[in-house]
Amino acid sequence: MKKVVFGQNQIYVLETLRAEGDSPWYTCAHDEFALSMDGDVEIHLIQLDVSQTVKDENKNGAVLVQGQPHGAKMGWMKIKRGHQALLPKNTAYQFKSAQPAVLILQTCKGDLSVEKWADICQTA
Amino acid sequence: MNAPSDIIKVLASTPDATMGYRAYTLGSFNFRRDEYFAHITWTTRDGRPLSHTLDIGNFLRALMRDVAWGFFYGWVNFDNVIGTVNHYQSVDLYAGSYNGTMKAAGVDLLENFPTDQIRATFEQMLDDWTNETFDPFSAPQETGTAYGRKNGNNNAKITRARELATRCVGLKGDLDLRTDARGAPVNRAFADVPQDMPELHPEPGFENEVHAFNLFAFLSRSQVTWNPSFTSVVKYSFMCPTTEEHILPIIHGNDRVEWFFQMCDEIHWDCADKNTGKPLARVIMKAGDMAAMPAYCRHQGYSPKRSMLLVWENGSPTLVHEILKGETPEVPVQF
Repeated sequence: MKKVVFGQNQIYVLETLRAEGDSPWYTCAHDEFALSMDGDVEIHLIQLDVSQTVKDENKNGAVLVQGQPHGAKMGWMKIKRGHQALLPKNTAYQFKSAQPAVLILQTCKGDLSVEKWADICQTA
Repeated sequence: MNAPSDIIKVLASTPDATMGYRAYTLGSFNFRRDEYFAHITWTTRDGRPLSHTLDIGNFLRALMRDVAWGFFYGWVNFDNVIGTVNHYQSVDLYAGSYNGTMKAAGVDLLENFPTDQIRATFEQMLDDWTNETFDPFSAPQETGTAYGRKNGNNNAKITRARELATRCVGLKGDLDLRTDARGAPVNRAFADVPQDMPELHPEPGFENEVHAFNLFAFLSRSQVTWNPSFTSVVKYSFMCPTTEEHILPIIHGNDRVEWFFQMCDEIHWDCADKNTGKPLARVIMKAGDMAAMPAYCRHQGYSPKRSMLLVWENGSPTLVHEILKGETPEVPVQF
């Protein structure tokens, strides 16, 4: 699943993500938010063991959890079109979607952010 | 610390014997209203008297936003002549200063005021000039007239608290969801918006972390137009969705980049140079479209029917200064 940047303002980005099947487990040193613009998506949360959290508390953007996430299960939620979910900082989160869905992520630009401005922008 | 506005000296006349409205003076600017218009007068830089006239409904809609938003980010142009610039501790009030023709002719005037002083004056003007029939935040089809002689006031509608989540709408201790019980029924234009809530399955102890809400339902219950709320916050990244109908009552001049994501229906934007008003672009945004408004532009939107717009802001307090010093570009990306 590619996290494609479609809005940027300094360190901050809006990313869009095609959610289909099971995503990798992600984690982030700051809160993020996921908004479904199309389709149903489950979001599973684990309170990540400190050993697996992002070491730099100021690091921007999501990273992949190394290996399987360890920690207490926090629960899960299912969002539909127009629903927005909190992805709390220092948790591991995974998206699951049986059918293709479109998510918008409010986050900061990080290691996994993909930029393809020339491909997606209409300019004068 | 801001001084309470009620102890700031506001220069107001006694009510006009015929119209019933007070006139106001702020620095070298004078404001008065009659049954149809707001009249602003000033003396130009070269000593000539000049005046400007706005439809009173349009003036009050713009004044309402300027007051409610604390003078907002950058320029709040009431039209192509009158407006304010927020410097975050003081505010410029101008006439013609960002109109290329008036500026070149030397008939403009700009004065700077402490924020508390201009806020107090604008608040009292808004209160005195808004009749009980008129709600300046409502769409034109959802409010009565702004016209006529003094006819009561509408204090409840002009003192709505701005809805600002600190982390996310619906979290314990944060901004509440909108409901019928809280006086926020679904708007007539959004009767088809599902009101279902996300499925939440928190483990014990994680009820306030496993959190989601129906953003579209939240927006469908907005009682106002062209008035962004904060619904989710990541550091200084603010999601500011809003519902739009008819015309944005101000022409917003950017002091930073902002982004618009059209979540349903459509808005047509006129974009212009923020310093002169020279037209730059026409942007037609339909559902799913995203557009950046650079820090050098001003823009005004037209929404043919009520639509959901996600305004996305960077609220960093240092951003304006970084742009002014050339440390941050006026455009969001270069490629």
